Amino acid sequence: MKYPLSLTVNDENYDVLVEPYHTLMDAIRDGIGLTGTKCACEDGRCGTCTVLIDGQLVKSCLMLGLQANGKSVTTIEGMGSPDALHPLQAAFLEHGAVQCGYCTPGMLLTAKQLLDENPSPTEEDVRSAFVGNLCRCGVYTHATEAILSIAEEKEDR
Amino acid sequence: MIDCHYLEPTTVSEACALLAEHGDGAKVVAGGQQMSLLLRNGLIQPSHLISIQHVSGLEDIAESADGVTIGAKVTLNRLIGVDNAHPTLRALSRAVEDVADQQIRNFATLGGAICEAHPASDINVVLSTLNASVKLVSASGERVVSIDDFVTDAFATAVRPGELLTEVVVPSFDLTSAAAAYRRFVLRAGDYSVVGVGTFVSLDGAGSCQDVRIVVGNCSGTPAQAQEAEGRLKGHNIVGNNALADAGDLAAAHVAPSGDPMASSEYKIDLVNVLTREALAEAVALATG
Repeated sequence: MKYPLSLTVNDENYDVLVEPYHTLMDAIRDGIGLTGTKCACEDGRCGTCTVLIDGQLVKSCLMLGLQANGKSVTTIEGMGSPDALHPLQAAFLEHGAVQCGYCTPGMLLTAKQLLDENPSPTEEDVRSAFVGNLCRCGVYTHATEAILSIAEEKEDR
Repeated sequence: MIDCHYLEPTTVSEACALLAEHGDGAKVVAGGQQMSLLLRNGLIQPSHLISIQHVSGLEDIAESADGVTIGAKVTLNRLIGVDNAHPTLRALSRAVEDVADQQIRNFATLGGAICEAHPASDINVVLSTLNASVKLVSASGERVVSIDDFVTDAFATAVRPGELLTEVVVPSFDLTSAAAAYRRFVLRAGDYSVVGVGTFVSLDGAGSCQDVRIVVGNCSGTPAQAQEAEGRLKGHNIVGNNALADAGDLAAAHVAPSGDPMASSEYKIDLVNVLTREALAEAVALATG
């Protein structure tokens, strides 16, 4: 049977109906219609569906939608827009850290959380942060450079 | 698809009452990190999901003379660095650092990881090494079961319908003469271990082994005690001789893992040998340090 699910996504309130076995990813993509959160492995490995929930990273395919009831979710749509890119999005473009782009939303949210918690990460910190975000094109090196460039900019200020 | 109800008790007794009411059809959801997969893949079809998300009192970590009690809802990420306050949890804390990834560790709970009973679970191997037990509460009472008795086979536990795992107890030990260590091998960061070995060693001042426990993971359905290897060490001087290498050989000689796409049986047997030696050496160094 369906249950009401109330979510704040990128500061907007949404009310949808979900089955208990629907995941948070199902609710975000199919219920709310925000498809920036990607669906790839559906097995908890790839990290393309990574979002922030009350400031904590989660793979949205591994959490039931109802577990997130009443919580605040940040998806890639909440990071920036084509007209006003988040500094990390701009850095990813500048450093060519995008190839097919499918892993990019998840990677950017992981990167955002990393810098929110640790504004001056080492290369090792960045690489460790990406354990849960698989990129089959192999943009890790460029993505790492992009993140470190932001960290350095902040230090320069 | 299945018709499934979602219930959100707020106390342990409420949760137990719901579990008793709905019997075998009820499944507990804690962090949901494994349950979501089981549900989506149709591997289980519960009539009732009992979410313990809002059940209070299952998130404490407390130490007494007997040991450290860890609430079932403590997340894996919270266990990283927990040895600063509770040094006997060092091996557990270090092992958890490499479990899955930060996204999963943010929500995966210790109780959930135990109940998953994955044969390659690092956590159950470490808890077995540490002689840990779990408390199971039901509407009719509670019981304490050792991890070794709790994990009965791959993905199978001794939990009965109506029971809720509420806490884990890791017994205390003398940190000046004893230590535990865990070594694992993976081909890719974040994977389940190909093989993991946990060791606990207690020494007297002369380097004689008073107590030892060696537990091998992912070579059978459950964490497996390497009794022959333990027999080679217990009561013997194990510092500055070839005792640890012998124990590695013996541990490897008594496992019969099946091969899988990640590693052949022979490869896993070699890993048991190497990891046993390494984990023993680490525990001995800590116990004598």
